[in-house]
Amino acid sequence: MSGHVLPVSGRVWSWTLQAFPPKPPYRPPAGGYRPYHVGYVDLGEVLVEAQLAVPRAEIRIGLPVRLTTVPAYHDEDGTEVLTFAFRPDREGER
Amino acid sequence: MSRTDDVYVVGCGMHPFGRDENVTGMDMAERAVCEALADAGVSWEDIGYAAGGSDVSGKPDTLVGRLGLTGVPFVNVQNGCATGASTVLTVANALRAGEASLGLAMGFDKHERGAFHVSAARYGLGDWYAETGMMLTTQFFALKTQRYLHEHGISERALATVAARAFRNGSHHPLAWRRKPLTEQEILDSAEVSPPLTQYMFCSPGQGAAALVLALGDRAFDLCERPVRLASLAFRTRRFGSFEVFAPWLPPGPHRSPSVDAAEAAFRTAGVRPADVQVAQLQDTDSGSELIHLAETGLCGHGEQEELLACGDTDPTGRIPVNTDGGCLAGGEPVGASGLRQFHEVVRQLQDRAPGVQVPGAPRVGFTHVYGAPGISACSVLTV
Repeated sequence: MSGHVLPVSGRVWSWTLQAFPPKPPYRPPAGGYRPYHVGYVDLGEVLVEAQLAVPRAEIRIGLPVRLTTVPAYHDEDGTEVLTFAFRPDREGER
Repeated sequence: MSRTDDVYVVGCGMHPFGRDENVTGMDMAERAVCEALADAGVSWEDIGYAAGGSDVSGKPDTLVGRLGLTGVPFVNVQNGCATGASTVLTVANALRAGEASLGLAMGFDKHERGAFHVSAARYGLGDWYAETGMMLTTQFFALKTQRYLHEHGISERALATVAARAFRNGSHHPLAWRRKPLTEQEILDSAEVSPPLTQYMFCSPGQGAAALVLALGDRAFDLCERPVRLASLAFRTRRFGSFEVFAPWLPPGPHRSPSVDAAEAAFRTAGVRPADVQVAQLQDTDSGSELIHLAETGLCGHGEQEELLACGDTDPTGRIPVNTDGGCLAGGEPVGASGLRQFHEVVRQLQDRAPGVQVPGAPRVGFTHVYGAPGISACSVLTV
C-alpha cells in the first residue's frame, strides 16, 4: 500500500443529520452530544464519508465543501482529539 | 425440470412478531416449528433435514432437545438479513441432492430495543469510525435514500406513502407488531431520525420466529392440497462498487447492488419476468430501502416509484401488491426470522389463505427479496 494524495475540496454527494445520540463506542465532544451532519463528499475519484460542518440551512447535494478539522472528543488525559470534516467552500461557488 | 426434482413449501408456521418479555427466542422458534409441522400434517420425526438461523438468540440446532432427539441433520445458519433465505436454500439443496424428501427451515430472534449495536473491529474498521459517530446503520439508509431521491426526482412524501401502506397492511394482520394505521402526515411529522427518514419510516429490531416445511416432488402433492413451488432462490454477495453500510469511502459509481444480481438470477432461473409477479415481499428496513428495492429488483423502473405508490399499485388490490403483511415496518425485524416471515406471507397468499388482507384474483406468482449488511441479498420466486 502507498499514500495517495486526494483533493481537499469537492461537493456534497449525499448528507444526513445524526439526530439522536449514538450508543458507545461513540465518544461525544466536550459539552456533550449535539446533532451533527454526516455525508459523502465527491472528490472526483472517490467519495469520502465525513462529518459535514455545514449549517442545516445551507446543506444540500452539490454544495462545494473544503477539508477542515472539528473537535471529536477529549482523551482520558484531557487531550482534545480532532477528526476530519468538510465545511462550506465559498470559493468553490464561483 | 420435472416435478420430481422440484421443491415445494407444504407447511408454514409463525410466532407473532413484536415484543413479549415472557417468551424466549427458543420458545418462539418451537411454536413456529410446531405450527409449520401441524400445517403440513407431519410430525418432527418425519423431518429428514433441517436448517435454522438466529442472529443473537441461541443455537438453532439445540432445538432438537425440545422437538425430539431423532438424530436429524440440523445446519445452523448466520447470514444477517439473508439468514431465513439461507436456511431455505440449504434445505432445498439438500432435498434435491437426495438427503431427504422432507425438510424444515426455521429462524428466530429476539433483539434489544434501539438501533443494533455494532463493533468496528467486526467490520474491519478502526475504532475511530465508531468513536467519531459515523458507524450507524440509520445514517447509511438515510444517505442512500437522500441520494436516490435526488437522482430520480422523488419527493419525501413517497417515503411516507410506503410507511402508511405498511402500517395499513399491518393493522389487518394478526401476526404483525405495529397494528395502528398512521397517516402520511403523521409519518412525516414524527421525530427526525436521519433526514429524509423519520421515526415511523424505520423498522425496529423486534422478536419473532417463522418456519417452513419443504417437500420434494410427489411427496409434496401427497401432503398438501396446494403446495407452493420454490421456482428459484438466488443468494448473492456484493461486488466491487456497491454502496453498502459502514463504508468510509465509496467509488464514484455507478453503484450496483447485490439485490440487482440476486433478483436477475431468481427471475432467470424461474423463467418468470418481474411483470409476472402478483405479490411481492421486499426488504423494508426503512421506507427508502423499499422504494429503492422496488426498482433494483426490476418490479418497476428507477424513478417510477412515486407514481406507482400514489396510484395504489402496491396496495393489496393494486397491480404489484408489496409487503401485504406490513413488512419489516409493521412487523419489526427479528433478523433470523424476517426472511422466513416473507415466505410465510407469500405462501399463504398463493394458497388463498392470507392471515391478513388477501390479494384478490388468486395470485399464482410471488416474489421475496431480502437485503442486508454488508451487501448481501437473496431473492426467490414462488409459484402455484
